[in-house]
Amino acid sequence: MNEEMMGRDCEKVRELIDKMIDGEITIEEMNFMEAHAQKCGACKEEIRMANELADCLHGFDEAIEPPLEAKAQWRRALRKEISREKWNKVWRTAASIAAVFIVLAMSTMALRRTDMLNYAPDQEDNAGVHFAYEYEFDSLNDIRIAPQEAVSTAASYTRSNEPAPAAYSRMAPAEEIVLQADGETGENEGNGIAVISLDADSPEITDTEFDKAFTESTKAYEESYTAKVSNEENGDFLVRSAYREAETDVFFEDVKTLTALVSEYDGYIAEEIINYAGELRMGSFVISVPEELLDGFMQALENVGKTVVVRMMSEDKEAYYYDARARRDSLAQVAERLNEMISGANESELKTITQQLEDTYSQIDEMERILAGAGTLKSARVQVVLTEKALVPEPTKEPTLSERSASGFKQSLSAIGDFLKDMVVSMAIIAPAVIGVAIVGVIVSVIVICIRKCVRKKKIEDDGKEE
Amino acid sequence: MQLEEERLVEKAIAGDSYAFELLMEKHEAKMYAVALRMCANRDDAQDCLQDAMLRIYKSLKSFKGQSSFSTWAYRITMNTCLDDLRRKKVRKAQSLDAMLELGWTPSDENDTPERHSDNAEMRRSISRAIQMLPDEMRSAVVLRDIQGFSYDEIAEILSTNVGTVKSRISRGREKLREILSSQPELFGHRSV
Repeated sequence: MNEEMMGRDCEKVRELIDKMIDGEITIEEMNFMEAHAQKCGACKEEIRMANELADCLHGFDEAIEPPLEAKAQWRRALRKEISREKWNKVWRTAASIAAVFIVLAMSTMALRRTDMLNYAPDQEDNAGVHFAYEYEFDSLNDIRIAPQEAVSTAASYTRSNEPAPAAYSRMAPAEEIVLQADGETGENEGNGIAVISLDADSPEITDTEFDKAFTESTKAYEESYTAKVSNEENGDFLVRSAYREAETDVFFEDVKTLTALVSEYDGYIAEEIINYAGELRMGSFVISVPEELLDGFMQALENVGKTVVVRMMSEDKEAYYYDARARRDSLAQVAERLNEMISGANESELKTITQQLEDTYSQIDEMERILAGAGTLKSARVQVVLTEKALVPEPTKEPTLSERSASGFKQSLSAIGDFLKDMVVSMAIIAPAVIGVAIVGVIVSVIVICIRKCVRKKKIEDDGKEE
Repeated sequence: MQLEEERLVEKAIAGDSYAFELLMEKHEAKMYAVALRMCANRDDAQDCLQDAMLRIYKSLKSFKGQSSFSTWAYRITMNTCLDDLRRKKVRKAQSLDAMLELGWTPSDENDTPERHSDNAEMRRSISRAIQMLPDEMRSAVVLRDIQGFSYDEIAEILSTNVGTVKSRISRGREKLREILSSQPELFGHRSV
């Protein structure tokens, strides 16, 4: 056999050695190997070593047992891992909740800067023009802004781009504005005084609107709330406030009641002064009543008004000469003034004025009757002061620590409640964006996974080719 | 047996750590033996066993049953050992003296295979020769000739194909014979 053939047979035997070790060799192949081994010492040795090595390796590690330390070590590590996973779950949940909360809170804070969270119902009762109270009214001309104290001093400010003067701040809250409705200014002009709330959407107040609000303002309100100056960008300082006063008509009701009472007790009002003491109206009445009816009159005074201060002109109930003439002249002046007021009065005022006129004429008739009969009546003089309920609440005593804490706590809760409401709204606003991002994320993840699988498959194939 | 293992696997995947321990008890000896053959010393084998166990535990939910659990577990074990070798850049060939200095011993006091009870020196030589094989060949030879896995199982464990496995085993065996043939006093001439 030549060397070339021998070489090829040796090569074939080497290839068959693995099959032999794996027990996959056929009988023919085995016979071939044995036959060749008879001729080739090297292959014979190779076959022998392969068999011996295979025998050695088979079950080589059967008796190997991990040492106790190895067994304990992985079990310890496992328990530690389980414990760590449990804590991780807790922290992951807490972190997820915190992350969502932070995202929502930041979105809410950002959205609060816009109008997107404006879910508050329209405050229709703030729209347009509202009057707090009325006093007297001449005509509707300009609407002027005037500080409360300026009414008596006739100072006025034209509504303009000028900001409201700081003097307004004396009426708490600081940004409330009092508008003086009438072109006429000056003392004792009989101007209407009102606090007007202007809505930012209706900066122009027409006469019709003003008149309408004026008519509606006969109701008594007991709320007041702070003003906000808006539209600063345009330079317009519109007042967005409503300043409502309690029992605005009560004062005049009290005056009417007192006047009627005086008449009932055959008395007359010798002096009547109604003016402003600060923000309040005050009426000071010096009343003469027949002495014999004084006790009844004093008792009846208790039913007049909410705030009545009564004092005798003198502790000594000395009778004064009752001058019917002086009284008649005084009443005539009152009648004249009332007649002047008729021309500018509206329907409801007209009724009041007419009634007062009737009472006045009635008293004039009485004086005429007395004058015709001559004689004197002994009377007592009483000064009655009617005051209006305060336009703003009287300063209260300094709140206690617990009251302040409770108030602060309520405000915090209210603020937190408002913020949580805003968070719910902002969650609804950002939800579509989050869903969109999630969908995109899922698509990207699927693409990445597919790419990785393909790369891995190719790598395995490449590894196979290399081998 | 198979059914019992399947039940334990299901329970372990569901989060039953006791079931997981019982499941791994059945495989820890073999896993340790594989780690021992792949790593240079017992300490490394111990660490690889621990790491492999933890990896298997953490990856349980990703086991879909496409292969047998043992195949999947040994794949993780082998990968752990190969990663460890790459990290430590273990020399493929180490002198016997160096290995002894490391406290290396291929077996513990319990290892008294009856077949080789009178051939401890031969066992040490074979162990040393196995250590001298390149990582890819060593893993294939250990799994096939020592642990007795089939070619398909080895392909799955090593994440390659059967052809590659056969090639590695063939070359590995040839290399082993080469190394051991240099020690004729252990593998002396004998008649076939």
